[in-house]
Amino acid sequence: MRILAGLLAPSAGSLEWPTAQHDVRGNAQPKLGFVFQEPTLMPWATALANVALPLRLEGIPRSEREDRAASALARVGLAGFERAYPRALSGGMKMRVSIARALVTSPDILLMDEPFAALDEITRFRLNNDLLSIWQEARFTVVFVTHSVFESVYLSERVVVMAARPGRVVREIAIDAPYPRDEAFRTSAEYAALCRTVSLGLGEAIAA
Amino acid sequence: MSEAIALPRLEQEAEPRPAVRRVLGLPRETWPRILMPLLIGIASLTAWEIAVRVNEVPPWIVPAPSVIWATLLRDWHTLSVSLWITLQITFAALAVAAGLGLALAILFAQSKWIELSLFPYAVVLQVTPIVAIAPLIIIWVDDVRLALLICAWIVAFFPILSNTTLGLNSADHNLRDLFRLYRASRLQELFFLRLPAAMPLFLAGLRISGGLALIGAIVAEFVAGTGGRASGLAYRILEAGLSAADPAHVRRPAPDLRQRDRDLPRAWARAAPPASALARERRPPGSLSGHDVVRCAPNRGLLAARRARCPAIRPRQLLRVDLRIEDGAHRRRSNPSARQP
Repeated sequence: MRILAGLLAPSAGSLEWPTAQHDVRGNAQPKLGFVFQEPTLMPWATALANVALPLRLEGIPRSEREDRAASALARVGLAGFERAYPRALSGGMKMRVSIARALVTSPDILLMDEPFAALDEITRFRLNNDLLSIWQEARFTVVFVTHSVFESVYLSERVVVMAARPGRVVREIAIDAPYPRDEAFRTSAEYAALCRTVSLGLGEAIAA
Repeated sequence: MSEAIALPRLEQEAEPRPAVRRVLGLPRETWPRILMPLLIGIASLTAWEIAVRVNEVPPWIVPAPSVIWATLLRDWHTLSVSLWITLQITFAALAVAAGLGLALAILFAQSKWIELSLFPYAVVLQVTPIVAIAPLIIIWVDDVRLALLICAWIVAFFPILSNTTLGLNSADHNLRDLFRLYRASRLQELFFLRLPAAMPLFLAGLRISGGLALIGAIVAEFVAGTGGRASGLAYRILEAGLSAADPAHVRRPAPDLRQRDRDLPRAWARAAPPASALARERRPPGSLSGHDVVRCAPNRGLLAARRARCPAIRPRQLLRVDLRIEDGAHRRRSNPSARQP
């Protein structure tokens, strides 16, 4: 994930982007959004200012970046919380702010590094659903790292099972279920079967 | 359940804030914070007063709070001037320490190399006892106020520097990654991330340095020992120490500093050296001017004055004369006339 984001150099292999836009330095790099494991918000700034940060760093004028940040907050269901500080928000709401910040630049690829791992099950379900509906609207690519088999099957079109030390791909499983997915899918036999396949893949990864 | 997900439904998470209950215009929770320390203060002062009165402790050992208060009020004119001078130095030193500390910490945050090479010297500056170098600084710098400022600054500087450096480096690592991801410039990272993140630690450093600047200023004043009307609190402490050491004084109430300041020049003019000293310097008795120095043993000013046939000097005035005599004993050591048998 950190290699994808350009924060680390790969120890072996290379990183190629298919539809590359070129940044100022001439490096092929698509527009990225990053959601960390923790919300990673600036505690001294309001939700709006936190979301507007990437735009501010790009040097976009104040009125425009506030409009865009406000609409990003509305997309994650936080309209009305623009002036709230992170300490006043619950864990789930902070995560929503973090997602809004990743969405505000309209990225081509959204990198999510176990974003919901620290949340309780109910909040996690809700955020999964919200993420799916946002994705349905905007149709960007999401790379989502998770330790939860159920989460991976529920969200993805494609699940890649990876093993550690050295990090490598063990299996790739296509999830053919149609979108929009909802609670009915979560309780279907198809879902259970897919979870089983992914679990088996994970077992391989541990054994390998 | 199969409906499309409706997003804005966080009402249940947002609770309206309960109205703050106010008592006499202040929030209810604030009152214990004011009342409890006040209560403790009153209780301990009362206990102190009672203890002093019951045991009849003389005021030069432990003065009762009432005596302290009365003295404060009576000498407020002199003390407030000194307090103001010391506070001026303190705040100026604190301001300079905050400014330089912040600037240097930012420099440190820019490069690990600069921090590595300069930080040990900042530590050296911190552990150097101010009492040891204050005399040197006072010799080097002509302007006494500036010398005092430098001494207070040296003491106040380090906590701000080290705290701010720590604060600048303590910004959340993920947030730093985020800034890198969005290709933030160094300056952007400094202003939008590091400085706000360092703020709490900087303020904590300022709090520590505030107290240290005052201590530094007073220590430096002790060493500088500037007298006269434009002198700080330390000089008043020195003065009080000397007058308390005079046994003639301790049996009396504390001197009225205001009255004494007015009397002093005349007292010096009237003070005459002991006959033996005058004989050595071949001068007639009573010819002593205000700037002459009377040599005698410490705390023997009254005796010296009596011998010099100077009855107009009251013991209260002698306090200052006594001070000069001791001072003179030091300075005259290199005088050739003093070495004659």
